Amino acid sequence: MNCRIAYDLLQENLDGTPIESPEWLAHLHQCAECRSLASAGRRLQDGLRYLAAPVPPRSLVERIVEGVLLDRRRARRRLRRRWALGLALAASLLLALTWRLNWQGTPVGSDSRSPEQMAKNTSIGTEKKVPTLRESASELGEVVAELSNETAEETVGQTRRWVSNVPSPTLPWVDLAAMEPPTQPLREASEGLSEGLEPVTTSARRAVDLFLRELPMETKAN
Amino acid sequence: MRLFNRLVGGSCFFARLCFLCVLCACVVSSSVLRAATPREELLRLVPDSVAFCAVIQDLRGHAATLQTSPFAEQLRQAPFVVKMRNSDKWKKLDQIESEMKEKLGLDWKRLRDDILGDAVVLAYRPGSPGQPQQEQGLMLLRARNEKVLADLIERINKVQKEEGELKELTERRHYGMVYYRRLEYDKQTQQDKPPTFYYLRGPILAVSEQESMLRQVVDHDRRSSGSTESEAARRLRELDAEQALLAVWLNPRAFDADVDAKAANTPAERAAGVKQFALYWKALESVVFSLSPRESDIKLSFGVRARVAELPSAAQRLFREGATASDLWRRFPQSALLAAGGRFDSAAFLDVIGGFLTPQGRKTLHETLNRPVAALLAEEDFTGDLLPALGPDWGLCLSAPTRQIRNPKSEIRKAEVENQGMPNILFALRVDASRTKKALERTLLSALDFAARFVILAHNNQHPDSPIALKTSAVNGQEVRYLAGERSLPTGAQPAYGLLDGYLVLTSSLESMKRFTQVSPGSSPSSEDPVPLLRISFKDWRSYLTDHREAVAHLLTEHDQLSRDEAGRQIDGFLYALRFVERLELSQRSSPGQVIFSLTVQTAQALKK
Repeated sequence: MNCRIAYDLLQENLDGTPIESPEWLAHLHQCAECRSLASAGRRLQDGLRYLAAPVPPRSLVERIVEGVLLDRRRARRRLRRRWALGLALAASLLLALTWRLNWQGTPVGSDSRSPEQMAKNTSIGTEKKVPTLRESASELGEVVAELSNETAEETVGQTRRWVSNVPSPTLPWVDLAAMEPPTQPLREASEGLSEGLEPVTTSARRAVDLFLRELPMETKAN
Repeated sequence: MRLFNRLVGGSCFFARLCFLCVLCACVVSSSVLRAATPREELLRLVPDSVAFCAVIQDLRGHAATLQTSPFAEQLRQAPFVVKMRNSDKWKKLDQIESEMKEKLGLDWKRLRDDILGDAVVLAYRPGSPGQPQQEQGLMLLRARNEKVLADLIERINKVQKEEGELKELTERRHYGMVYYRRLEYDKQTQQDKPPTFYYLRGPILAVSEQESMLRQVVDHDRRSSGSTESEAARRLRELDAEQALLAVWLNPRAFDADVDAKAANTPAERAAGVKQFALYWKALESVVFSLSPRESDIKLSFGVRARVAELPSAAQRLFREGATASDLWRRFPQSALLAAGGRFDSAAFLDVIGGFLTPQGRKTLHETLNRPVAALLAEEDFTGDLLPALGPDWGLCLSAPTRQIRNPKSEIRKAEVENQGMPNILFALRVDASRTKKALERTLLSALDFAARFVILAHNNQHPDSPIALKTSAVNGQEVRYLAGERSLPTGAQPAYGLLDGYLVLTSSLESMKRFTQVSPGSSPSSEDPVPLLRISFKDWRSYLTDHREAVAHLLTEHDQLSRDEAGRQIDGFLYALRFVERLELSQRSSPGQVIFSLTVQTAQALKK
């Protein structure tokens, strides 16, 4: 046994795992430094025993549960955003590849120069560094993701705003507090379902990550 | 034909034998040829026990069809597309394309048509339970032109070597088949990236970060006979995704170990739900999601295939009921803005939910439902006595109010014009009193009367100057109740309820109640027909918004403090967006052991010339 392993065992011991290794004791006989560390550890544990056990505030459990739920909601939002971005990227890439070049005619107000000319002109004067193949691919992913986000905002966003502006019909409101929905059992059932589904959802997320790993959108999304 | 008769009908045994051999050979070869689509060529190489398999096929064909379609033409003129095409980012794409073309000798069109145009497959296999990092991914593609593909790979390798991004490219062999290991260097982190492996044979390219995965592809390629259908291809065919542009297959068997481990390790208080989930999961055979552009619509499908006999009996009842079309669809107008409906066995659903709960949880569920509802209905056991008699047919319909024919001679009051935009909403639920011994109709109507009087009491106390009242009327000889109050309710709005033709109907106007009793003639749908679940008619939304523009603008200005002009602009923008889509339909098609839910988006212009 060397000092590093002895130190790791001591750390585990401080975390609550008893040390049952005769090699460790043998090492302490030989190594003064580790012996002094082990003795300091023992003193620390003894001292901690005399301290009064902290009493958790009454609301701690609620706060933890709330925090965990909030964290879970955030994780779900992140996941949804990642999926949405992934899908948007895939759809946009398909659309871009499908339609882009074969659209006849020049776009209104667009530059009539050829792509080659544009590329040449862009680099003239600025002495811009020529990007590598990977950088070009990353840039492509970035541009397509931004384009799809802008288009989504332009179309879906506007519609969503409009729909949210439409007022709901106003009927007399009666507060029926007694009509409590069966939230607790339903939550219990949905938790069982989502816990069972967890391996599938985790794998789906990992699969998307795996195939999008090389694209820059991942960091942008988060 | 004469030759056929001579060979088959004649006495020459040898000729007959020859003919049969040729016939057999034709059948066999035609089946092989039929099977050898680019998609199936790739799916045969997909290693076993992958969890997800995504297939994109015939991108070239779909692109060619779409480009010349009236829908693409309509889209080209759309302001957001014009804006996008004129944006700097769009121009940036031009620049990137020219850079890529310079380096790789390919533009987008050739990349789409020659490289990605036939088929692309992405497959994923998760790590073993607790070892997610052991996951494996694979990309397969079949190019139209193998020379273009080989040149592209060669150029990528060459360019990346020159740019210092490709550190090593080494040849490896597996059973004599050559594949390559690429080691890339990340200039940003100044570290080597994980190696990538690729295998190129003719027009087929396989790429993976895991050597073992790639070797399995090589193994499949060596052994592939060409006549057997791969599991992925079979699963996609079973769930009607054979021709889809994009299809994703989920293989439940790849998660069995994870689901079992989850069920075994979940603490006892939460174990009921996870164990029940495992029961359903084991019965599941495959799940397929697909996207298919067709002549005049785009179909998104979600198919599930399962061994129904292994499902709990409540789930079997639930699916069996859902597989039949509801009679309510014959009562909803074709021009409904939105209609939803189906057959739902709520008692079976409650049992399905109960399966995911502990005995205590089930008891709480029944108690929580019984406490308020049973009290309202003056019954003790809502879930036991009344729930089985409610349904299975249910439906919701939103329709435009009857069009106001303007008479230039008579002036319509301003208030009336402003309020006439409210669409009619109707909810219907089948009530089958034969399923319970209780006097269900009377119980339900009493409860609704009570609720209505409660609402009236609350309202009239708050608004003594504009009271509402409960009135009675008759629709098709059946008694209905409605709320009346000229100054409290929008013009035309008369919230009403009643039992009509065996349905409990709740609606926002008497007019839609009358319409409900008019059943359109039609034969009962066959079991092969898709069962409708949801329908949104954007065409009718357009008509509704155009006809009631003034009233809707009034509602918007009141609610959102918008100016009339701004409200008008918002309506015009929304109307413009609605021009692209005609109809959206959600339906389900069931056959033994499987169900496919399809969302069909019918475009205003055809997707094919």
